Amino acid sequence: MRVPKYVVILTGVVLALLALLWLVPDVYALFLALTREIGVAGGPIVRQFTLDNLIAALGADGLGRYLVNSLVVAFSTVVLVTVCASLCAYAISRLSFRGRTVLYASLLLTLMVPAAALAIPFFVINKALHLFNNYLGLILPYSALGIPFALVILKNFFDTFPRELEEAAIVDGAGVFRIFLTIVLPNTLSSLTVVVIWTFLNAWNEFFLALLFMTDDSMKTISLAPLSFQGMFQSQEGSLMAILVLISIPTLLLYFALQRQLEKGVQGGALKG
Amino acid sequence: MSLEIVPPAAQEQSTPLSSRVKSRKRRGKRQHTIAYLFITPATLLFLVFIVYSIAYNLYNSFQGQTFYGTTVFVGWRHFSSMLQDPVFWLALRNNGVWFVVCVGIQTVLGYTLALLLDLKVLGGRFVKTMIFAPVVLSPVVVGLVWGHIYDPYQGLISGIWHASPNWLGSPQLVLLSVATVNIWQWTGFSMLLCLAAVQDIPRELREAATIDGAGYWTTARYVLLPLLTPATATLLILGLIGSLQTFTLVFVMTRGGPANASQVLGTYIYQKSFVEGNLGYGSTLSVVLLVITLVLTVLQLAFFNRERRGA
Repeated sequence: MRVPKYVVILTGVVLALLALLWLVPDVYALFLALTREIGVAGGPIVRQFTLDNLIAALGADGLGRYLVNSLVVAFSTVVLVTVCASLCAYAISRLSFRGRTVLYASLLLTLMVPAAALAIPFFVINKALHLFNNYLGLILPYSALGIPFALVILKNFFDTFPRELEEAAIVDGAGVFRIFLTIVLPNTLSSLTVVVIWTFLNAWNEFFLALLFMTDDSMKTISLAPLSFQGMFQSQEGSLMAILVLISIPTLLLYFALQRQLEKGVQGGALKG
Repeated sequence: MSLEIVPPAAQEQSTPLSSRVKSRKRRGKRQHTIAYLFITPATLLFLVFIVYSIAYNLYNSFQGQTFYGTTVFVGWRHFSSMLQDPVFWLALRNNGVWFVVCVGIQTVLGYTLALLLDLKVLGGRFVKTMIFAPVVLSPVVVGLVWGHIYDPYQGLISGIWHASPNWLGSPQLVLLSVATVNIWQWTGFSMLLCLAAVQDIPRELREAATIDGAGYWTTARYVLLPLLTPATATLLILGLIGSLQTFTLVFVMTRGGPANASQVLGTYIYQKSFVEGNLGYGSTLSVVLLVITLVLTVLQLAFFNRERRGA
């Protein structure tokens, strides 16, 4: 299709403008984090470059603890979701058992369930199991809510994975579990990466349940940090912005490092699902 | 879709035909056992945290209860008071407005960006990266940064436009102000879906249209758009689910205020259950939210399946 030259030029201009517009909040946050106001009575507000905010943020009490808590919760959720979903997806895709269709359909329905609608039962369950201020109090619900998405991605992959390899292994006398571990899983890496990234991001950024179940300062996750520090840095918006910038760095790094897989996940998973 | 893989035990290869029938039965049984082992972990989590939770909400919506107190059966009382609760209706309406505004604008922006990016102009990669980046950010961070942008005294907008309205303080504007932030965060997601859908259309098809004398815009309108129905359906369904799940942005930016003007069902459930301690009423709201989600999703799926078959 030949595209007129003016369309190409116009496109470039429009895209550039949109990208700039999209960057405004990021740049604004960075700007506030890296500058401070120098008061001139009555005059215009002038801001001057400083690293003080970042230093204050890095030294903020408990930030390291929040980070560790989030790492523990997010990694455990990733492991649990990956193990449960890949086993279940393989069984649904390859093995025959009673209730297969029902199981898949009901797990898919979970994709739509809003976490807010389950907050009260989760609260009651965690209370009964004494899981408040306990990593498991977040890991288990996050996993239950995260498995359906992983299941869709992995089942779609298994459905298109050629059976010949597995059939050859059966002739060699290998059991189902060994086939799954040694032949299927190593070929699933690209889909597994998608599952791992998305599960990690969701667990890392989750806020509602963390707010309910992690009431002790020593157990709070990183998504609760901004609210805790909001009070501390009440009048110093620069330091608060520095905190926000700091806690965004891990997910942004993850995104830049695994951009292609992440985008493929958005496109492949959603289109087929 | 029947089973192909049957793991034979090694010695079975040399067993005579007569015993094969029996062993196949046994193999079938073993196969089932293994399958059940494979699905057990996921199913357990599903049963405890999803099935039990939904059942608990149903039960609890008929219970009157205090935060740590005892429970009493109250019948349909929560449901009837909900129907007369103006904040419930306001929250429901806000969820609806949120869905229409966010999904409408994101879909239009998504397709516009996708069609533009599909022309492969210089810097397209950069644009894609910048617009998608907010998706990976925590909504708490996004909410606080935008809260500062909207700040009526020292915010970015009021710094440029001195007479600007109070974006988060005005009951008329607050919902749209917060929804704008949501659009900023999620347009990148829509864009990628749209781009995949656009690039899925074979180039020959578009070229054939051009040879027939159709211009760029005509091709886009009559050849591309109709082929994009499945992707649009996905966008609408994901958007619907996302809208009904809205919580964090609203909570961080406004707590549902001022005067409930930006209350959505998610924040209202939080308010009723965990601030006011009315868990029974919270469960009632949860049940309604679940039912609405389910019904709307099924309706949308049915509608688009019919469209696809009709096309």
